[in-house]
This record gives sequence, structure tokens and C-alpha cells, in this order.
Amino acid sequence: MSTPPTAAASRVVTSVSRTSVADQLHAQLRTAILSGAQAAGSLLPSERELAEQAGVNRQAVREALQRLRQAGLIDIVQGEGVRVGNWRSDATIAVLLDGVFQANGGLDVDIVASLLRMRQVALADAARRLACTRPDDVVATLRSMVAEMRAEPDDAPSTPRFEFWGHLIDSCGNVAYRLAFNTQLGIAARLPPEMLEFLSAGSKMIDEYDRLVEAIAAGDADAAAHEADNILGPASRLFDTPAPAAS
Amino acid sequence: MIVNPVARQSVADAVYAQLRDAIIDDVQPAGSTLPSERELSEQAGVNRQAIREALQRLREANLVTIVHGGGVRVRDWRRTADLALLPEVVVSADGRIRPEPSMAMLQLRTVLGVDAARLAAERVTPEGIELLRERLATAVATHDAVANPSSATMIAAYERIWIAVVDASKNIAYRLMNNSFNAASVQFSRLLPADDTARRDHTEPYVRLVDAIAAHDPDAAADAASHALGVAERVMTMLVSNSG
Repeated sequence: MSTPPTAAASRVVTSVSRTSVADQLHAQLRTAILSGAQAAGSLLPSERELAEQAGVNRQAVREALQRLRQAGLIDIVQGEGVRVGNWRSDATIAVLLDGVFQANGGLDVDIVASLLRMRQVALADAARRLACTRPDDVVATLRSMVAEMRAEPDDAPSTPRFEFWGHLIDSCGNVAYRLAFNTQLGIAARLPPEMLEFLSAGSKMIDEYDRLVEAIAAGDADAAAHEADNILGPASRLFDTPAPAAS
Repeated sequence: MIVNPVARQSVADAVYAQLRDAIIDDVQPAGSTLPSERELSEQAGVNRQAIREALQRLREANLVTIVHGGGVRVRDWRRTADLALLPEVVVSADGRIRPEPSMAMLQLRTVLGVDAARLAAERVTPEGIELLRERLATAVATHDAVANPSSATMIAAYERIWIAVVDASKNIAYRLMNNSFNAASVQFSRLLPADDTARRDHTEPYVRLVDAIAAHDPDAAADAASHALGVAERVMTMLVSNSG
């Protein structure tokens, strides 16, 4: 890949921010803790030792440790050192987002499956709630989005339809759902193309999208939730080993 | 010893929390620029290293972009922040409960809790059932034994049931979201009236919930969960909107 010459072309390297060193160390320690290699209750090596092992300065170690502490992965105990916490009971969702991408570049399938399920459930509920208020302008916009989907050629690449769902989420006015949606966007932005394909399962279910919008327009909350569930279900089930019971 | 050691970090934490709250409350709206590191350090009376750490945390939370050349620009957090920020959106650093995000979070909690109950009924192990029964018994005993059960005690007993439910659901996202919800519940419990009438006789849906999960009946589990969480959602929504 060639880069067009710019005014800064005389630069040999771009500056490596101090943060990226802390980022890498943070990722290593996080993986060690989430994988259980550093068990809950164990002590991490001292700041000085970590700096030596990683070949980085102590400020970077301190930053990495602070981030682990904020995420609820460790306790920094005065006079004792750094103790690994029980992340299952103490950590926040931030840990999970960090944990999606493993150190070896792969994805943690359990985490992806659990996030996809959460996406399905939250978006189906957003559709349900939107059917209760069904503002005219929102219905009109969603309808035109579905019309555009229908106009696509059959061999158009599948997409996760973020614009559609983003509009639906914004229109139901729930900031918690919006943040959950942003989480999904943040992960999707880092996914390799073939994985984005998985997230797009269901994107060709134009009739279901159509029925979803019409259910919202008709104020039929259950039907709206049901159609959203139909569209988003296939993606969650791709990763979800225990099959949900048929109902 | 007259004073305990003040960790350098707590200074950075405090600066981060102040700036974060200014952004969430739109005191520093999206698109605005924060004062310079030097100015912030003077205003807060702390050293620049603490300011730098606070700014890095804001950047990691997607609340600001640090422009090359030093400026710090506020982002539209509703568009850029992720779920990790939710607990901080719900309660400010000085303990202020923000009504609208609180109600939003309670709704999310209900819908995820109902699905967790459904999954738990499908996936629970015999050990999981045993744990659920134990925690239910504790909750019922707490409810019956105390003439005027303190909200915090009762909420904690219910929370332990939910932890067992989300564990049984084997959905790690639900498990960690539950941690965030629990932290917020503790804050919300401050709003409960002292006589605690709002939460009386609410063990019944929990009995049904545990029975349904033990019977591997997803629909009944979802229904009981919806009842248990729906009650909490309505009570809290009322209290939060009155407080705001």
C-alpha cells in the first residue's frame, strides 16, 4: 500500500505515544487475569519488576495498573502490592469489551456470543418501546430505509444495517440502549471483514424489516419485538452453542 | 498517624470525575474545547501529571479527543461512549442520581434480567439450582425475620439471587452488566422510604423464578423475572423521577 507524499514525508517514524506502551502492557496483564493465568487473590509482580520484564518505564506500568484497577480487575493495596481481584464479581462491562479481542488477534467466542445475545434482546425491546410511541417522522424514515434496502441488487454485500438500528435506538430515547449500541459499533469497527459478515446475518431479511416497520407503525409492540428478534436471532445463534429452546 | 497517605491516583481520579461530570451534564458540551493542561492544573490545584492522567482516561472513555498540538475537544458522548460509561452516567461523582439515564438503565436491566432468567432455565446445572434455592431461602428468611427490613439488606439479598441467575445463564455480558446494575441499586436504595413499604411482599416472584429455573421452564422463568424486575423498575422510576 503506498501513501501519497505529504509535507511530513521527511519523517522516518511516526511518534510512538507513551500510551501505546501502556496499552500493550495493559492488554497483556488483562489477558493474564481474564484467562486465570494470574488467579484471583494472587499478587502481581512489583511495579519495578513489571517494568523490567516488559522493558518499559515505570510510568507506563503505573498507567497500565491504574486502568486495570478502574476496570475492577485488581486492587492496589498500600504497603502490600497489587492483588488480582475476582473479576467475575467485581469487574465492569469494560473488561468484556477489552476481552473481545484476544492477544493472539483472535476473538473470544464466548464473549462475542454473549454480546450478540445482548444486542438482540436490547434492540428487540427498543422496537417494542418504539411501537408504543410510533412517531410519524420516525416511521417515515424507517420506511424509506427499508425501501432503499429493497432497491439494492440481490448480490449487494450484506451489512449490519447499523443506520437502521441506530435510528430505531435513537428514536426510542433510551440512553442505556444507545450506549449498548455504541458498544456494538466500537467492536464492529475493529472486526475483520469476514467477521463483520457474521454480524450481518439477517441483513437480507427485507420482508422482516418491512414487517418490523409496519408493526411499529401499527403500534403492535409484540409483533415489532418478534420481527426484530427474527432478524437479529440468526447472528446470535451463529456463536451460541447451547441452542435456545423452541417456543 | 494523623493522616492516611493520599494516593497520587486519587487526585487524578477526582479530576477525571469532575471533567467527566461536566461533559455528561453538558456543562462542557460536545464540540467545545477543554481548558489547557496548565489552566486545568491551576484551577484544580494539582500537578500536571494528574491532569494528564485524567485526560487520558477521558480519551479512553471516548469522551474527548486529544488533538495533536495539545487541544482537548469534547465529543458527543451519547454517540461515542460505550456501556462501560453507563454507571457513571447514572450517578455523578458527588452521588447525584440522574433521573433520565437511571430510568433508561432500569429498563435495560429488566430486559436483560428477563433474558438471563430464560437462559438460566435452559442452562442451569444441579449445583446452580442448589445455589439459587439457598439464596432464595436467605432472602425469604431476611424478609420474614426483620420486622422492618432495611432496604439495603433486602436489596442485597435479591441481588445475590440475581448473581446466581446470571451465572446460571452463562452469558458473561449479563454477568458483568449485573455488576454495574448492582452498584447502581445501592445508590438507588438511598431513595427508598425508611419504612420500606415499597418492597414488601416481593419475595413471591422470586420464589416463582427459582422454581421455574429449577424446572427448566424458560417461559415461566422469564415471566417471573419480568414480574420481579418490573416491580423494582416501577418503584425506582417513581422515586428517581420524584427526586429529580
